[in-house]
Formats: sequence, C-alpha cells, structure tokens
Amino acid sequence: MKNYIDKYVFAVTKRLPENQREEVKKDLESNIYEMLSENPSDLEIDEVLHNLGNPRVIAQNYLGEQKHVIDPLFYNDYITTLKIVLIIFGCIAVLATTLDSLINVGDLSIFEIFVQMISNIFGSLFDSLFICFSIVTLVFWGMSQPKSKEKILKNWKLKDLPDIAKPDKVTINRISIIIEFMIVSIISIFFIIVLMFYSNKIGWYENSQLVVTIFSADVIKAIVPYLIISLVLDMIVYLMKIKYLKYNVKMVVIHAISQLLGLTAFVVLINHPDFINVGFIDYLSTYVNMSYQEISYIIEQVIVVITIVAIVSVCIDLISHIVKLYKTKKKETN
Amino acid sequence: MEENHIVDSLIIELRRGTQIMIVLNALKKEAYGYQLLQTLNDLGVNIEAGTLYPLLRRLENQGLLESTWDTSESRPRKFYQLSDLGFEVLDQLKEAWLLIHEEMAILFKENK
Repeated sequence: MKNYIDKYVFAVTKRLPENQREEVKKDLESNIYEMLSENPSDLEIDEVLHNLGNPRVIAQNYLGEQKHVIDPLFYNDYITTLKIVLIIFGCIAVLATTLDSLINVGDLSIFEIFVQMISNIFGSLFDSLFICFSIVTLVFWGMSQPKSKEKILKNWKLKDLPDIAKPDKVTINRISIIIEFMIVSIISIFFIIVLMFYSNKIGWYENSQLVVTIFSADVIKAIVPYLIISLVLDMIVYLMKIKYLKYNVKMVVIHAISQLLGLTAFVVLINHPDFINVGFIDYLSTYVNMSYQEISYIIEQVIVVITIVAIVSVCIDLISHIVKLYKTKKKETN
Repeated sequence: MEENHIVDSLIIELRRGTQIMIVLNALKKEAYGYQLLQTLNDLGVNIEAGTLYPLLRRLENQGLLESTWDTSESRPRKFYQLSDLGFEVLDQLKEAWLLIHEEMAILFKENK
C-alpha cells in the first residue's frame, strides 16, 4: 500500500515543472507520513490520500496561478477571430474546390462528379481549416506572452473602439418568401418542361419551318432528372422557410445539396461536347460568314463565362445562407 | 440548491484572501506542515491539507517564509517560519484587513 503513496506523489509531481519536482516530492511525502500513524493500515492510507484531495488539484495548488496558452483576456477575441477566419477561408476552399472539380470533369457521370466534388470539398475544407486554426492560435499565443500582452493592453486608443452593433434582422418575411417561392417554382418548372419536351423544338426557323435544332436532345434528357431532384429539394427548403420563418441547420444543408447538385448538372450539361448541335454551328457559320472553328471558339468562351458565373453565384448563395444561419444561432444563444 | 452553491463558492472566494494572513500569523512561531494544520484546525480555521501544503511552498517561493529540514527524527520534517519580509508583509496585510473591516462595518450599519 506504500506503493500508493509513491504513486500519489508521482501523480502530483509529474504535473509540475521539472525543477520543482524533487523538492515537492520530499515536502509532500513528509507531510503525508506525518498524517499517518507508525504502521498505517490500507484503509488509513486511503483516507489520508483522499483527505488531501485529487492529485490534479494538489498539483494545481502547487503551481499557483494557471498558465494559459491563450490568455483569458484575449479568449473572446480569439474565438471571434477564429470563427471569422474559418468561415472566410472555409468558403474560399469550398469555392476553389468546386471550381476546380467542375472544370476538370473528364469522362464521368454526374453522380460520380458530384460524389468526387463532395469528397474533394471536405478534403480541402479540412486542410484549410486546420491551417487557419493553427495560424490564428499561434498569433494569439504570441499575444498572450507577458511582454506583448502588456504592450497590447497599454496601447489602446479611443478610435479603435468598435462601433455599436445594430441588431441583426435574420427572420424571414413570410409574404416575400411565398412570392419568391412561386416565382422560382414557375420559372423552374417551365424551364424543366421546355428541356424535357421541347428541346428538339428550339432551333433555327425559316418561314416557320425548323431548319436545325440548337441543342442535342439526348444530352439534355440525361441531365433533367438531376435538375428535378435539385428543384424538389429546393421546394422543400422553401416550404421549411415558410413554416419556420428562420434559418436552421437542416434547411441550410438541404439547400446546399440542392444547389451543388443542380450546379453540377447544369455545368456538366453546358460543357458536354455534344450539348450544342454540330449541325447548328455549321449552319450558323455559313449564315454569319465565319469559320466553324471561330464559332466553336466563341461558344466555348461563352460557356466558360457562364460556368464561372454559375459557380460563383451558387457559392455566394451558399455563403449567405451559412452567414444567416450563423447569425440566427448567435441571436438564439444571446 | 443553486443558491447554496453560489453562496458556498463566494464564501470560499472571501476566505482565500484571509487564509494567507492566518497562515502567516500562525508561523510567527516555527512549525511543520501537519503541526500547523492541527494548530489551525484547533483554532477552528477550516483549511484543508491539500490547500495548506502547496500554499506554504508558494509563500516560501515568494520569500515570505523560510524553511529548514529537521532530520534528527526518524522522519525528516520541514519547518517553516516567517521571514523578515514575511513579518513586514503580515503587518501591512493586517492594516489593510482592519481598514476593510472598518469600511464594511460602516457600510453594513448604514444599510440597516
């Protein structure tokens, strides 16, 4: 049972700086034996050690004032900075990865592209968040060092004081969301119906006679199911918004899936080599007196621009949803 | 329950400052850790061993206490005693405490 006294003392001293260990060990041992009788029973040792308290607490008492990696004075700022930096760089990582995986699609199905994109997003998100966390922590650790801490706390100016925050309006207006819901539904359903049933009617007409179609109907039909799934998910999000009138996690997640799926389908569609009917380009080149290559090149450039605009606008939309969710949560915890 | 908890932790907070004065005062005469603990407990001062022993060491590190190891007995004992600095500090603490006491007395009288 004497073994337990040694173990107890060790449990205390291992938590102390090395140069104090020997001294505290001697000190503590002598104190413990003082509290015990000449030949102590196991029960007595148990009682005395428990009387002294948890080794962690004793070690803490020996250390006196606790040392913090981040000084409590800076802790609030640290958490706020961390949140802002992680959100910004997280968004940039998502945007860059989405762009990257959609531009380098190769010969994959939409489902494969979607899955690959999601896994790439998580990978780069983890990397960038980890790096940001490390850098912010390192900076605040530096600020918490006694010298820089004293300097920072002494030199504060009135003009550095923050502006008084205005209350955030993050609730959803029911009327405007219902109107938005109707407009989006009508346009999307119209768009999908056109793509499904009338894609072979969009084309070049002369004397009300279809000469050549613009789009390849086969490519469009393969994409439409994904657009429908995306639309259905989006409808669910609208219904949730109308019901709850504020942002919640489930809503933002479904919204993100819907947007990313729709975006992938759309980008794959317009970047498909057979999307624009070859016959149409041919016909156009004779009509405007340009070579086939020139027209193809212009179309390619237009598609690249549309692709980038689509990706950026979806990302902005996702970010705005996340920010609104964050503000809602923050308001609720206040 | 909740209220008791608040009161308890506030009382501990209040006592923390007085503990140092009590220990310094008691060590005008030389004593070893356990002996001091018993003296204090006999006086009705409620301080735990786990708090007292580390406190003694910290006060020693600050130069308020001096220590010597007595190895004449079968078990070595570390004896603590107030240093010159300790005496000075104790006097000042005493003054400060009496002032606080007076201020509080006036304050609570007015409140009645």
